Amino acid sequence: MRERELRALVRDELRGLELPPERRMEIEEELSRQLEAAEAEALAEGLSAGEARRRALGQVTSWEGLRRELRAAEAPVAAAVPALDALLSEPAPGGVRARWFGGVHADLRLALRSLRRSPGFALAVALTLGLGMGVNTALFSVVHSILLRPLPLPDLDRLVGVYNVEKGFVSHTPIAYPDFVDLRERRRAFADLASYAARPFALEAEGESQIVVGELVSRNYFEVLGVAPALGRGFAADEGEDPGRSAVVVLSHGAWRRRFAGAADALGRELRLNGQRFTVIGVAPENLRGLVRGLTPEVWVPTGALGLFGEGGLIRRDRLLNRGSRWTWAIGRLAPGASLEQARQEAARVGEQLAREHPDTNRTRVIDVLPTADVRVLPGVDEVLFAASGGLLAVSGLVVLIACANATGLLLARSVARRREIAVRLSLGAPRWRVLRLLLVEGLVLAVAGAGVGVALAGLSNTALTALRLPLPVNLDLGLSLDWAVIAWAGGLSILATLGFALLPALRATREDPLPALKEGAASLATRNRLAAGLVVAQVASSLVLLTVAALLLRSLLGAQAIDPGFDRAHVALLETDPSLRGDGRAAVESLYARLAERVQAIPGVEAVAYSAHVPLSFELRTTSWAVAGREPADLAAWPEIDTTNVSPGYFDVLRIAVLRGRDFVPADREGAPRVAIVNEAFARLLTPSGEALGSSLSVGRAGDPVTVVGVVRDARYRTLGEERRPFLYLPLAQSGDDAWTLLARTPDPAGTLPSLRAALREVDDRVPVRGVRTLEDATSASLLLPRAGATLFGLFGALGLALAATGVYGIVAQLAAQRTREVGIRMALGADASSVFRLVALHGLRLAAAGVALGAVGAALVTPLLRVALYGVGPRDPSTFILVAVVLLAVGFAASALPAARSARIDPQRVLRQE
Amino acid sequence: MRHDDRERKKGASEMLVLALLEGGDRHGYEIARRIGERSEGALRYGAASLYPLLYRLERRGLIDGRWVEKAGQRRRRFYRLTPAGRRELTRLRSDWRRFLDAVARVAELGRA
Repeated sequence: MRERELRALVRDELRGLELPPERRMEIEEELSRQLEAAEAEALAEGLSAGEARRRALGQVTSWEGLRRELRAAEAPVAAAVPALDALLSEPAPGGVRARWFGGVHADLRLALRSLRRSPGFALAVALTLGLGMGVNTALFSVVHSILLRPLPLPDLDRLVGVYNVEKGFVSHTPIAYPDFVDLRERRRAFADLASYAARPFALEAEGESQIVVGELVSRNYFEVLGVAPALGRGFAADEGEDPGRSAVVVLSHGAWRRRFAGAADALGRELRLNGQRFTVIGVAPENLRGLVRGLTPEVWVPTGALGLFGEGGLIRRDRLLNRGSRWTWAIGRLAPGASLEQARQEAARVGEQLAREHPDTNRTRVIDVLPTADVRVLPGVDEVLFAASGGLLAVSGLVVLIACANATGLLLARSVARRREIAVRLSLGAPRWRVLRLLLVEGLVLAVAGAGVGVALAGLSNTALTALRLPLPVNLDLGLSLDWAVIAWAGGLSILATLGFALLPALRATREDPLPALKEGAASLATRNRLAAGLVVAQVASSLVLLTVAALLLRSLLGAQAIDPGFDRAHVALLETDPSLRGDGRAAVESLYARLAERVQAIPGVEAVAYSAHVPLSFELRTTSWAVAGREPADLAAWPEIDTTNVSPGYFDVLRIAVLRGRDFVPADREGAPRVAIVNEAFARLLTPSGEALGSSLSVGRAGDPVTVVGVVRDARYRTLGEERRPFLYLPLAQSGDDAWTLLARTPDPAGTLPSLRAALREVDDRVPVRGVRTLEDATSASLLLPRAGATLFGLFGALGLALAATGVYGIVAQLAAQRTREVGIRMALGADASSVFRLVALHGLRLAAAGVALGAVGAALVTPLLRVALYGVGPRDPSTFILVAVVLLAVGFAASALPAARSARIDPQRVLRQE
Repeated sequence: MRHDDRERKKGASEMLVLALLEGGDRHGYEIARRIGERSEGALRYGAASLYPLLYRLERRGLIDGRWVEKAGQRRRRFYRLTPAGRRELTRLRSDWRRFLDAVARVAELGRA
């Protein structure tokens, strides 16, 4: 029993020591054994129990002294006796390198051990740095894949692009195909020239149909690039000119994996492009992502295949012969021994020859070359991209700086606690730079851990960005990946960060005169770090700005979702197709649409079916010029523009847009019949003050017979949800030349109907390319894309800022609280109670947060008016939003200071004062 | 000079412990008691300075501590002199002898 009491006493006294638990227990046991022995001896000498106990306790004259000695003998200095010996020993022979870098390995081990002992601190710093570096590294990874990563082509420096050169922003433009053919035939400085052009194709393979990017290339494309297919072959000599022999494709590596599960027998299989059968002859190597950055092709198709797509095709056959139409890009490989300058002169010379030979098309054309390695997208565009990327990287570099400031705060707080350890090292004679290096190595370990977190975050961001499906006609594929450049970037950042956040605390810690620090608790410590406090205020302020913007955008998003678009988005399914892609004539197109409508009408649940050229609130925008018939302006440029679309009978019923006056379109409104139109209320009021409008006669599109207004329908939102009422003109599809129709089916379950829609089209005609099958809700989500992306992005930045500000406040308050330990002890000894100490410390943090909030509120009020155009239903200086965000930040600031404050309130004044 | 002085004090304590262990393995309390007895009370080592000293010596590989259990007793930690410790003791002894001789000659201690 007595023994246990003694042991408990010893344990209690040793509690403050930072030792591994096993070691502490061992010391505890050994010490209590001595106390027991002394007590037993005293009892044996006949002393009373009380006297014996006093004798036992007298074995340790000063617990404080014991703790101090143990601390010096054990952790962390003695824990590293080998390293310490290294610190004390003379520089190893072997020159400068050995002197400066000898023992780094030991430093590293020491640093790891020291950090393992305070995992909370290590985690806080690594996460703080990781968040900051993550944002920056993610951005770099995007910039790298777009702008910095060179095309993976052999002898890239021998490749040059051939362009038409013009004045203006886009100075380098595509060339005409016949010009390309002539350049190739007359080449001398070029070993060979290839053409390429990215185009959307309707691709059907293994039962899936999708619009994808394809590259339309001359048959020598792979040879010129110097790339061999990973599987199969490239295009043969006769594939590419003769349409009959051009129905062959080379798949991208990704398409091969996704659509054919990477099977070797994909070669020889068939797929359909724009409804035509093509045979797979090869698979491109994995790293070949085409020559147009951002548009990674799924397939490579020989230009000769254009002849297969018929008159309605995306690129008509005659483009191969038409010198007026400039649509293809050209790339050439320099002949052995030929210089860039020779290629430039040759291109210019052929350009002049062509201008003489074909003056009607080529008179003003200039042809020039640029090294492919110097071009990212196009020269003018590149400049903008580089500037924008630089700006974004700089801004996110600020986030890294803020994170470093935070880490500095945490490190300063810790170095206060480590003063003694450092002082012991210095007093034992370790040169200052060795101790400095040790501290920097510790910082580096933390920074590298942070960089690891950052790379992981960048990986997540890349996955998210790649998975992101923008409501665009074709998906962008940036080919984001974490390659060595990204990892090197993060590594470089971590070294800079180490210098940024660890150097200052390390210098400060090693500069202090070791003696006062050795006398534990040496009174008033170092100057309060005003710089750190200022940083925290700035952090709180900037995160308040970010959060305010995020909150406004979020409220605006909620507001936008509540806006009535003027039509029913919830119960309509869409099927987008274009039979003309495969060259069907108008009659065949209309007949197909009629049969399709009939078939869809029979799908269970479908209440009504209609067609339109496009749907409102998608990214598509169509306008036409118009005038009141008989009062057309003579100057064609003076005709006003109006938003318009072409719709079939029943469209207004499907979308639940009320016909207010007059009538809907009817099947009789077709080609040959009198031309008619329907207008919305806003347009009707524009036409006649009463808004009657029926019977008005309009000239549309500067051509053809006038149209007569036969109906007025309710206003809707067409471009954006937040727009003012906008005049709108509906024309009958049957009286338009439009071939690409979108089918709209009204049904209670649009999502569930999508497979039936696709099946219906297959039943009617299994060769028509499908452009898309989706719900109207989905198609119109484009209108929410900006507010949604804004709210998400700023929400993310805001949350990041909040987290950083919270750790910042915590770090600085904890540091100051540690410095004020003695002051607090005295206050408590003089009668201050725990709650007043808590208030003292917490108030300090709260004051910093409040200063930041005040500063941030002013900043936010200056910034948010810039958002006005992006906000629906909420003012840019909405008071409730501002107050809410301020309260959140103050609460976070309070919580972050409450932790160290609570610790201060638990200070034992006796112990603190005894340490004098 | 001050530095040497501190070193010497530290060295003295180390020598005392090493010298005691030369006579056999002992546990901490015994070492403290024997220093007291042999110096006839002139030198006293409390636990507060003894144990950190032992731990330091152990870390330097001069002594070796191990737990020993004896029947009916709680286990105790016994310290043993290592070969390195023996060498260090020899070195310290000759150092001290030279130092004391020098002091004695200068201060003419022998004549007092």
